[in-house]
Amino acid sequence: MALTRLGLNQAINLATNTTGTLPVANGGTGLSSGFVNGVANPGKIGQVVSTARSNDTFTSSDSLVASGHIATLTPSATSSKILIILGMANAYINSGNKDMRVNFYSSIGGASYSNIISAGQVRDTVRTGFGGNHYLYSPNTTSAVAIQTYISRLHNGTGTVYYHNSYTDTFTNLTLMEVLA
Amino acid sequence: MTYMDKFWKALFTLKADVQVSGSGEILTEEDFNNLDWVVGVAEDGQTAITSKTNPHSEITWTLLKAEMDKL
Repeated sequence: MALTRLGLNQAINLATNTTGTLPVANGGTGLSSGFVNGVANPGKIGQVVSTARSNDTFTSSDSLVASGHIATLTPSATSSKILIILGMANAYINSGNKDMRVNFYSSIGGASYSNIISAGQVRDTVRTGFGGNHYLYSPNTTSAVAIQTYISRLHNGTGTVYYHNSYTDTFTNLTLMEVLA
Repeated sequence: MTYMDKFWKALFTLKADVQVSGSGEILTEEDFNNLDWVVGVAEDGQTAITSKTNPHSEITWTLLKAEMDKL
């Protein structure tokens, strides 16, 4: 591309007064070539879904149980990834002597849920938790992908753990973003 | 003591450390019947097998409510 030195207060029309490829400038939309290795839509977000949980969600189980908090997205291509984002507003360790673990599970095309990854823990010493985690998931499908959080107590002790405690009128949000290849 | 604190205290009085999960406040027998009771562990060793059918004969809605009313 040729470069021209501009004088003070001179402007150049990027749409008409350039040679070579200048794909995106000044609000342009020419992403079809010369952008990132010629990929037309690199890293674009295809769709976003989000579900909120506001009621008490609890367990006294030592093994992982379904929380019932589910978000579902159908990828437009098998190459798409799904960015899973969990924002926990008010987790709660009721007994004070048990931690809580939270895992991401997926169900593809209506199949049974299976574990993806451990999202994290809320520790008993904290008692109440405000936090979360995210995970970039590659389901390699164009079937509906349902993501559900599973929860359980962790480590020795007794009592109950709350994935969400409604006491403070807050929302725990589970968000899925389709990241196009 | 909150309502759910009473629920847990009464539940564990009837059966210590029984494993169950659910959502919302357990205000009615219908809510109670919607709880998920842990009845086993799946082959992966970490996922619970649950049932809507309460497997614990010592825990009923009537007994649970009576214990809660004592608190």
